Formats: sequence, C-alpha cells, structure tokens
Amino acid sequence: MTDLSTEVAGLQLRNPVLLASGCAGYGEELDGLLDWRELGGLVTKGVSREPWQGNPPPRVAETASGMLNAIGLQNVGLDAFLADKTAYLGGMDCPVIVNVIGRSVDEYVAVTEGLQREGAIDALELNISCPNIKAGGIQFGTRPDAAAAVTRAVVGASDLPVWVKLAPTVADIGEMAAAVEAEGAAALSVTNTIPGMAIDLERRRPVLGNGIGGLSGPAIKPVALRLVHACAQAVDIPIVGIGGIRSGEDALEFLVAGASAVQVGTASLVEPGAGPRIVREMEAWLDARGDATVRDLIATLGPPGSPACS
Amino acid sequence: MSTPTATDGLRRIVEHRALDDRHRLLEIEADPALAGFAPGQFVMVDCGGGLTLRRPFSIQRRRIREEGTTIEILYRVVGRGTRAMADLAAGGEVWVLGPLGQPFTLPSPDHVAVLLGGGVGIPPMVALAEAIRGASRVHPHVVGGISGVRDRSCLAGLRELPGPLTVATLDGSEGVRGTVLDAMDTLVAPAATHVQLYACGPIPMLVAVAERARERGWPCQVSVEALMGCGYGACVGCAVPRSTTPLPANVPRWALACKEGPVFGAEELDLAGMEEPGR
Repeated sequence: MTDLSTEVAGLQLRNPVLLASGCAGYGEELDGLLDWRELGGLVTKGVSREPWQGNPPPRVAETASGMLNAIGLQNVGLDAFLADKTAYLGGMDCPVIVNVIGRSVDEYVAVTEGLQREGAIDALELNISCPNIKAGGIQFGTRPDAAAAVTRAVVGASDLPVWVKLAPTVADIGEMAAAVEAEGAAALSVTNTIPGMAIDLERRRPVLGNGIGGLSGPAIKPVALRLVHACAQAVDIPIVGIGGIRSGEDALEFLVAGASAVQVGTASLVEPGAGPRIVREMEAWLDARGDATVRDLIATLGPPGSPACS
Repeated sequence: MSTPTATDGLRRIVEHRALDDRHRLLEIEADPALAGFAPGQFVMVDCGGGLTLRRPFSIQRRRIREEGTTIEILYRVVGRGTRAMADLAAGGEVWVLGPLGQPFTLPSPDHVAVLLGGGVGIPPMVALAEAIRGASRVHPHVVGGISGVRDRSCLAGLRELPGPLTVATLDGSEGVRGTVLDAMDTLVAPAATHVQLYACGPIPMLVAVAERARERGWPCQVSVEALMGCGYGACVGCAVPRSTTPLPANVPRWALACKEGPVFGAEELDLAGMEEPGR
C-alpha cells in the first residue's frame, strides 16, 4: 500500500491532490458530489474585502484542449464568507486553504487579518496573478518588487502559512519566486491561467464579455510544468503545481518536476469526481511500480537523455 | 425548495436518433437521482469529441421502460458540442451530471397554467405538463411555438401528451399563424385572472411573454439558457443579469443560471439585457 501523504510548509496532507481556487467554490457547491476525505485539500474561491460583482457574461468559452474564463472574481466578500461559508468548510475533514484577492495591499491585508481567527482555515493562498481584473492583481504578479511588497504585508499580518500563487506571464519566474520567498512566502502555487482571447467570428467580437480571459485546462500543462521546474531550481520553499492536470500521471509529472502537491482545476470543474479519481490513479501507478511513498518522486527529474530509473 | 441531489456517472445510451436533419432525441438510462428530476431541471452532458466543457440540456421527460427508467433530451445541433454529441452511439455510454438547477414551481390549485414553449425551449414543457396533470388531474394549456416546418420536430414530445396542444407557427404552416402569445390569446381571455404562465424559448420570446404577463398581472416563470462551466455553482460562469430595479443590499448584480435558475420569476431578470449564447 503506497503512502500518498505529503506536506506543504508544515501542513500535512493525506494525499497531494487539492482542488484549485475558483473551481470548487467554497466547498459546499460540491456537497454530495465527492467525499472530501479522499482529497488532500481545497483551495477556496478568492475572497476580497468587499463583495465583487464580477464580469458581464459570457464568462466561459470552450477552446482547443481547454477553456477561457473571465469570471472577474465575483465573490461574496470577507464578511459573508466568515458568516456563511466557514461552517461548511470546517466540517469537511479536509485541509482548507483560503485564496485571498485584493486591488491594493491594504485590501489584501484586511482580508488576511479577517481570516486569522477562523479555525477552519489551514493556510492562505495569495492570488497575485489573476489576469481578469484590470485594476487589480495583474500588477502585483508581473513585477517582482510589487509581488514582494504584497507578500511582505500579508505575511506580516498572518499567523497562517501564506502560499503565493504566481502568474505564468513573467519574464523570469525564478526571479519572481525568489522575491516572494525572501519576504516569507511559505509555499508557491504555480501557476495561474494564461491570458487569452476567443473570437466570435459571426459577430466579429470577443466571445467573452470581458474581452479577454484566463486559459486553463490541458492546453496549459506543458507551460505549467516548465514553470514548476524553473521555480524548483530557484527556491527552497515547497511548490504546489497547477495547470491542466486531469490524470494521476499528469499529477505525478508535476511532482517529478518539483512540486510537493498539486491542484486540479478545470478537470474537477467539469467532472466533480476528478480529484478523488486522480488520487486513485496516482496510487495505482505507484503500486504497480512498488514505490513505497509518493514523496520519493518529488523533484526527481533528471536531465534530458538521462538513463531510465529502475 | 428541495431539489434532489445530483449524481455524476456514465449512463447507457438507450436510444439516439435523428428527428430531422437538425434535431435529435437522446434517451439515456436514469439512476434514481436522474429519474427523480423535477420539470425545468437540466443535466450536464459530456458530448465527447475531445471537448473540455460539458454542455447543459433540459430534460424533456422521464420514460418508464421494461429495462428501467430513462430520461429524454431533445436537442438541436448548433455548435461544436452538439455536433460531437450527435456522434454518440446508442448502446454506448455517456457521462451525465444531474439533475441540476431549480425546477418550475407547480401552479397554485386555483390557477390555470399556460405553458409556452418556443423552438428548442419546448422540451422542458413536456415534463412540466405531465407534472401539472399528475398533480391536479387537469390538463394545462400547452402552446408549442416554432418558426415553421423545419422546426416541427421540436413538437415531438408535446404531441405525445394526452391533453390538447396549440401549435403556433410564424409561417402559418400549422395551427395559429403567429407567436406563442397569439396562440395564448386564443386560449385565455385578456381579462382572465388566476393565470400562471410558464415560458422557455428564445430571448425575444421571453421578453415578450414577460411583458404580456406584467401587463395582465399574471405570474410568470421563465427558464433561461446560458453558457456554463460546471452546472452546479462552483465556477460562477453562467451569470445572467438580475432585474434592473434596485436590488436589496448584498444581492449580487448577476444571478447564476445553473444554481439559482434556470427557472426564474420573469420579474427577477433583466431579460431584455440578455443575449442568445453564441455558438
């Protein structure tokens, strides 16, 4: 029986598969559709200081091997999150990481402070990389100095471990990773959606109401693998891999590239049981090879042309 | 409102046939959750073809067969999803998540129900008509509106119902020449009271029906379509605009078609501010 347990910055996970922010709501939306005890954790939908209304529809579009979304981070806001959403999260028997969003450092800090005394929360994930808010996160996520500043402020306001979710569209992901590590980030979530556009040819306009959106799904997996690998070379803090994972083998590839855990987004959205299925597939793959623990795979990627492992 | 818990699973395709060159009927094996759907609810179908997103379809009706209960989906082939879906073979299996969403609320016993379905908005009216008849022993007024001959297959489910059916065609090829509202006027007097309207169809039809309902003071429930990501409220992708009248504090501007809908009170939404989903 393979040991699937792993650890991210002191947080013990029964297995490496978490559900990604924005793809599993606040947990309650999936009630009855999966067993939380089969997952490593849940990352909630982003929470902002005040409620955000989000973007006009359409908000989703099918693309080749993926999808675009431009939800615009519609969410209930901090007060309603604490009042209405934490009871369910606390009863899931599954680690909960709350994704934190903001349009300014002050907003990030306000949400962070508001979440500190909530017992249901195990860690925070700082979203500095959502490409959908014109006035917001993208600035923090594209400049190392801005990313460092918001990380410093949030880490200073938090007793909970702070994971920082990095954007894919940066010149040097290693520089970004090192910048937030230096400010106390406990872990990195790598990566977010990639900005993209879909066009309605008949109407000669963008499909999405927001014009552009974030690309996710299998189309971005190679991009994400490369970013995870680059971050693993650049920092010592643990990495949580995200991007187009839809099978156990996909997840294991991220571990080999350097991730200690992974998040499943788009695949879980369209198949609510995908997370637990991916866990079972990882276990079967490892069982078939007699591997004792999934942790033995982390950051084991050899150079091109290296001999096969036994 | 209590709704049955949804399930996600591979379901056997009992029958899948073309009704004409654009419309098809998919009949799939129903587990107890699917079989327990309420009229107006929908399912998310993995159409195959390597597509990422599933597609939402309203359920036309439940059918009791010797080998078990099935549900029917009547759909029009309009885009990538439905083109891929058209290739699903009877005897095979398909991933189906459901039943999802808020169903129609059955009419008060003292109200006369009028069901208005337009085009591929007709199918959910089949299940609704059956449920109303089952609950009240009274046939509701049922109107099926189509543009003309090329959409006659949309009426297939309604034609199987035992009660009377009023057909409206824009080209006058059958029944009343005109819209579903023209047909409705042949059934219910404008001054009538205790009338409950139900409508599903293209946006312009819903706008017109809602306006007429408001003028006459008749309650009206509409079922709307939206591009969806998940179908169960997690992605917040299927936003539809709430009515532009001032909203209470803490009510978001956008409603979710999948979870708060697809059935809404007509006055709850800014129907005129909506647009048919692109393909």
